[in-house]
Amino acid sequence: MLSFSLRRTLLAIPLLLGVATLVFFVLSLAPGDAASIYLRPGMTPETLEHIRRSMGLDDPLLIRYGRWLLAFLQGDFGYSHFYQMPVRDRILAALPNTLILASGALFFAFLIGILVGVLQAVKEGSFLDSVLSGVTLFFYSMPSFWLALMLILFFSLSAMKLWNWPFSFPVSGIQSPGADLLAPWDQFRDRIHHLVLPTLTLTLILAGGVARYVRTSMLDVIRQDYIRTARAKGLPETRVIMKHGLRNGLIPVVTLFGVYFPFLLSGTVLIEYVFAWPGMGQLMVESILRKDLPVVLAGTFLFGGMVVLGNLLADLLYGVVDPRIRQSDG
Amino acid sequence: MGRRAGFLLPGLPQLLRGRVLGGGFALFLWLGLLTLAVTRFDRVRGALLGDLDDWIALLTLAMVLGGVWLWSFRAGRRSMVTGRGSGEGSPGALGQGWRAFRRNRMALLGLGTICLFYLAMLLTPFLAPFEPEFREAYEVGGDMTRRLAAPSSVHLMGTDEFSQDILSRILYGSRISLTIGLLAVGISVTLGTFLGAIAGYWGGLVDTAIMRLVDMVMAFPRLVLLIVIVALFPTTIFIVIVALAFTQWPSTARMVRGEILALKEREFCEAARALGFSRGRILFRHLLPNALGPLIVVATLGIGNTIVLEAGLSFLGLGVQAGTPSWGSMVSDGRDYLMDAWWVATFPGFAIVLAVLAFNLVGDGLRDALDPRQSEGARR
Repeated sequence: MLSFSLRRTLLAIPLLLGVATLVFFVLSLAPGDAASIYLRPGMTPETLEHIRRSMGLDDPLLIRYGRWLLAFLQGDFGYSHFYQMPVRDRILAALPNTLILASGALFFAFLIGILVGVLQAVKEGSFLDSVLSGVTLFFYSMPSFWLALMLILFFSLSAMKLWNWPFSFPVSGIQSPGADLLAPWDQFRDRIHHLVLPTLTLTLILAGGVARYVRTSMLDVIRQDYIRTARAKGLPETRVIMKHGLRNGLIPVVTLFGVYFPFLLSGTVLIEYVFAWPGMGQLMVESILRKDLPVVLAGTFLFGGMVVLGNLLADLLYGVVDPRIRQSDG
Repeated sequence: MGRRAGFLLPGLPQLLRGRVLGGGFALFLWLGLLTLAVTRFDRVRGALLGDLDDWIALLTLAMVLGGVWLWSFRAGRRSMVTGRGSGEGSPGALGQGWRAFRRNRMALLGLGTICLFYLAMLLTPFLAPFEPEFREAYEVGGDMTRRLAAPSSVHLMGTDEFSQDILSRILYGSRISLTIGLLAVGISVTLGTFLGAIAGYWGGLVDTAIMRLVDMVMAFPRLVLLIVIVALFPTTIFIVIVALAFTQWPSTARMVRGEILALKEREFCEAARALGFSRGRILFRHLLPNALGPLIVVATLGIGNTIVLEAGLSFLGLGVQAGTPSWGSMVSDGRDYLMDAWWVATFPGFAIVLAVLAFNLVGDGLRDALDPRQSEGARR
């Protein structure tokens, strides 16, 4: 197991380097450069040229790449001219918010997805199965940003103004204004309140896909000989499903974690934008619109890095739950 | 009887023979288009002097009306002769797939929806009650209450903040969403198939190089890579399509490579090698056709996915230029009026969901019908 993990981890390192390289070269293909931030009316071309030279932008591409990579490896992500602070600090402020949102959604999506998928597989061909298939496909086909708006419409605006529900969820930001003054417990409740709608949106979007996958995987297992054997020796059906079916049916679901991680991060970008959630996605979108390239560069790499690490984690987990993988890997 | 009925009303002979779905769809389509042509006769006649869009719409109308009638007539006559529906002779793998597909009601529903969507896209000039840029409230003597007007008999889906008709804008917006989806997937599938096939068949250094590139591109959440590319280059519809294709080909390449690797070991490939066929011939004539099933499935599901992504880009304001109606940007327009005018954001979203749902239904149906692995898994 140790050598398996070690080998997989080592394989991820060149991939991370490749990801950084790809980001750098894609961004250097774009017209315009970082010096244009300093462009002011009435500025002579010579002044701009001087700024470019002082920023090292007129060096050959490869030299700039080398310099950037070297700094990058030492943890220096550059300086954001918009925020007037090092990119690393800005990103470290945004990252936890994204991780809270993403991990919550991931947990609930897999919980709901697995429950629904297993239920469908057990009741294959029934009315319930068809209905759930329709519902999961519906959510699977839905654009996340639209679902977010619809949830806002129902659970925040209408709930408050039309239907006089006793509750309505906040639709923007991570906490209410002035929440810092509240008692710790109320502050915590306020945070949870703000988490509800973004997490719900992401969960619904993801759970549909998970359920579809789990259903297929479980159906595959249920048709296996050892399930027939388990039934034949007179085990109660719940025991057959829970003990013999579930254990094998959920093995491929671990790989799904790796597959869905980039999907989840894509989702967070839009959801954070809709809910004004101060995370990595919102930071990326805003920085791109402002052409704040150092932040875009580091942010894109970070997203890539998160996916690589997520895949690595899924690989390692797969090795844990399915010993055959470790064996065949040498 | 059947023959004369086919002559009179398309779809009727099929209906009489108990083929409710095909006959019903043909009848519905034919009568619907005929109604459209009659009720909007002025518009249709005016199209003769109109621009390219008008001509395309006119051509579509004529071809679908004629085509449905011809199909029904000939299929009706053939079934009289053979006493059975169409599809005789020994079908190939794809023909068998189509037979399996035809039994899947939900997939057929999806296919019908897709056809209707594309038909509506082509016929937009005749279907749309207003021009997409027509701002009723701002015309001379305009009525300002037409801004954000609720759905009514005049504006079936209401109007937006500029008093533009939502239904018309959805129809005109379908061009962006549906065309981009098709084009981007076309490019990415072609590129992905080519590179994946080469990687799988040649192996060695070529394989390593291509697959490492695939790993790198796939390491990014697709939307993040998309917004970076689209935002940094001058936004044209061309860049959006290229960016969508560039971020999608790796998954196709990975799938095709896997297929080719498995097929390479099969006897028929060995036989082709023993016959001394060239590598190119073996790859393109013997191996790739056998990978066609999964490829079609991936492409169909990819179109749905691409439509959602394009809508996301437009929603962020990074898609095609502002002003051009597209479903994603229409949802974004409605975001600020969610409480006062829920219809502005809701209906374009429904259009996205319906289109994507249809592609996913067809993709699922195709997978059940074509993908050998799936059916092997089911048989086991």
